[in-house]
Amino acid sequence: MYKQRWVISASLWVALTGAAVLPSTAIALNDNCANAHVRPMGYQFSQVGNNTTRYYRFLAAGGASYHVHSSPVGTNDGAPEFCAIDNWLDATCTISAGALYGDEDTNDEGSDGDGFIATSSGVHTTAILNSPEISAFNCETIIQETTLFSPWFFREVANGYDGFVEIRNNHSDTVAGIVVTAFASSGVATGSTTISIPGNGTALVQVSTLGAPATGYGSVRIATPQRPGTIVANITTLSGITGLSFDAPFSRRESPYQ
Amino acid sequence: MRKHRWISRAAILATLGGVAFLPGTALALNDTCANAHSRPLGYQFTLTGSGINRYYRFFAASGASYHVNSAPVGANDGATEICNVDVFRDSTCTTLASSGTLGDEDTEDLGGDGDGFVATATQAHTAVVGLGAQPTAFSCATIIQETTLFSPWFFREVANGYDGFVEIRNSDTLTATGVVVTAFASSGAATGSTTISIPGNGTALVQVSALGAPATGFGSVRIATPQKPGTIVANITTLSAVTGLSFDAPFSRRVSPYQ
Repeated sequence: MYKQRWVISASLWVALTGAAVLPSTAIALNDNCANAHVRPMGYQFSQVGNNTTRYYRFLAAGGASYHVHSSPVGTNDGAPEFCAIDNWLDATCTISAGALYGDEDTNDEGSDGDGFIATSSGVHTTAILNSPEISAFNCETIIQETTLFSPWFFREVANGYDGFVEIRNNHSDTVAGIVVTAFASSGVATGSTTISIPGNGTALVQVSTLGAPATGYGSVRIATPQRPGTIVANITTLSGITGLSFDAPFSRRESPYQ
Repeated sequence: MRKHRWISRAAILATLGGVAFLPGTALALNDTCANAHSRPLGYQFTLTGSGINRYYRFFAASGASYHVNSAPVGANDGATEICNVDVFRDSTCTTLASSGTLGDEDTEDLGGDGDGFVATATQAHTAVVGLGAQPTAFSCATIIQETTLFSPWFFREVANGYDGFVEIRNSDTLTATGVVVTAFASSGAATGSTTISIPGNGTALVQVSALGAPATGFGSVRIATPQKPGTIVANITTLSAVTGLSFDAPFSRRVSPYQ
């Protein structure tokens, strides 16, 4: 579809200007925010350098969560090789996404992981720094979505049905900033809550506390700025009156390159 | 976040030493433990040679389980290409974690080796990959993976008959040993654990009430499995014969970013 639009645009341009269409594009080093290179979600890429900062652009969706991870693939003798990350919620590197989440206890040596929840749909930017060393080394980097989805809860107050969202933190320290959002079957968000979970702890959230309608079914989204795999979850819908119960585990929305 | 820690360290060093921060780093072959190269979890890498040993460093978390797999990507006609793995629990190659007792399941690759272990401390570990001697150099493709499984949920209420049943299957044809099942209260405190063996294609059943779970409350379960990923699959069914209710919470593996 985009190809057809491009061909039409090009034809118009040629007709109007009489010039051949050659987009004025030059290869530019991505050593500043304006020249950031595009990286698709879930695509692993390598940056070779030494005291080098490079910028990468990616698209994030409002309400979803993301995590950027970068690890040195070491070649130096005993060196403290570090790969460091900074994330921004925009294309101009103006609003920092923060650095509070993402370094879980499964961290790799000398690596960095930073996660965030996108507040709006749009272009975001990450910067990767290779620490100063005598020799250049590789930072292997991947930008991933971490949002979890469960397809089903059922609520019927008259017969005692409610959905219970069970959320485990697989990390050994407390994780914070986890946003649990319920959706009606129409796709309308009914409510959300932001929680923290102690290391190896389990949290329980009832969908009835998230504004779910008194009768109806829907789904739940969990935005988790932690590293993928840190948070696992399940919904159990049950009724103490009828004795029926059903389970709907959460799964992560992965990217094509994973 | 690490960037800020790193900058702080660099600034302190520069202040104290009065010098620009340039770590004294030189390229070194990773043919000794001290010169091990770092490799992130889930990152596949290739070592090419013949009759050589190379060392790799990785970070493991206490209580979690890991597996190192290395297999030849053959180039020799009819040759017996072998990739061998040894794993140490430290960065000095002092305490052997595994050298072949766990991790070689029946999905083993030709000439490959897999070694797994359950970490007893959160720290740097070391893997040694050895290539058998051949007239021609060949490649060993290696990956270091976490294998720990987690389930988010059990519920226990003695008064109403609720208990959690952890169902664990061994997908290998040989007995799997050293599988550690640990229950956690909702606070995150470990309540108890058991180490089990499961016969080939067998299923084990562990009640969370046998793991010290509180008489009333909910929690979760971790399974540390030193076997190759996919060897152990598991689920928790919570049920009450009194109320007739039951719920299921399947286990999933904590994968690494590069997988």
